[in-house]
Amino acid sequence: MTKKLEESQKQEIREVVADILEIELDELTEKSLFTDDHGADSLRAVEILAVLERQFGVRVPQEQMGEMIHMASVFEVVNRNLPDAK
Amino acid sequence: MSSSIGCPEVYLNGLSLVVPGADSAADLASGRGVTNPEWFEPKKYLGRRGFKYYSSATRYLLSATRKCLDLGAVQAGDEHVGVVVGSNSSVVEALTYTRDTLGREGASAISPMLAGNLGANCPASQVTVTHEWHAFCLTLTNPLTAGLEALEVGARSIARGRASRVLIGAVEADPQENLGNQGAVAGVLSSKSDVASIRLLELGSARWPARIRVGSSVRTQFERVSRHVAGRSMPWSCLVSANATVEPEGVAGTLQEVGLVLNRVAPVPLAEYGGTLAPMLQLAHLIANYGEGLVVAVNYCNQLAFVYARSASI
Repeated sequence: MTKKLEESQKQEIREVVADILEIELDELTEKSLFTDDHGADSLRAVEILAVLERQFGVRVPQEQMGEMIHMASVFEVVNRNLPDAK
Repeated sequence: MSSSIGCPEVYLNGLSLVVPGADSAADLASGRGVTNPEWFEPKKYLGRRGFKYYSSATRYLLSATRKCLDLGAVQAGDEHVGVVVGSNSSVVEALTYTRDTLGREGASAISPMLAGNLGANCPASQVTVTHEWHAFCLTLTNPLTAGLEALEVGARSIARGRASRVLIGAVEADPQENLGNQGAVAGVLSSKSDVASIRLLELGSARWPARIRVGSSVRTQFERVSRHVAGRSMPWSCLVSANATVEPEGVAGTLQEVGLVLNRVAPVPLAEYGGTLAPMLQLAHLIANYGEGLVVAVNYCNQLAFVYARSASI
């Protein structure tokens, strides 16, 4: 059975990402773009990846990092790589 | 190696302080003291966000730079502006974080964003990037003297046409040290007299020789200072590192030999400030209270740097 992020985990990820992007939680929507809408650079993307890997035990392949452009895509990538999702 | 700047027309504009216990040069004389550990509020200078991952040194320097911008001493986006900063401890915080995190949790726990602070030039670089100043960006690290040396390097750069303006500064942020080793001083060098200008009349640096002789570099440079003063009593301040082999009295003796009449300004109100900040604060203090002054600093390697400056309004 494929494991999916629970809503409480999604909320935790939203908080982590908002903290890294230095924005308020309500500014972060599912489709707001990290770079264009929130001024993130590539290093912040690496920071998001590093924290997700540490806190949620996922291992995200380097080539999938570029997919994480907004919250919806972050959830998708994390779901895909959850420990027993494969 | 020694060097000096004769008298290119160089002014220091908008000298700005972000240090504990003083918002301005006038505050330094009041001896308000370095006592409040919560002295720095980055939001006051940097806005609500955007500095979470900057080191303390970068926050201090960006804040002092902000004050220079607010005073109108320099404009953002001017590609002919360079940046020269002196610092002994700008990287200590990042080194401490990296060492402690590696030891406690391993390499995977290192924050990529915080690791970006692992470079002595990071504060100056961030100032350059933030304000789009592209002439050059440099950090000097000689203990004690690097702030004064930044003045000299900046003045030379203007004299040679490398930059039209140079943001100079000193920044310290050593978490192991006392509060007086925290903060930043910044100002803008220009060939034009702008806001709250200080005319830099002589700048120099040299290694203090075992024996001062006629014709030696230090003596020759001090002789140039004496030509500006013409027998008047001159306020001055001398900072000598504990392990230097020269004493302040030795510096004073050489200044007197070349004809300078010294009005020693005891650095008592500023004694709590350390690192590269100390000589820069002495300069701010002398100009604010006496209108002119000579600041001499000698570090533990016997490397000397000095500046003789006068308020442009005199």
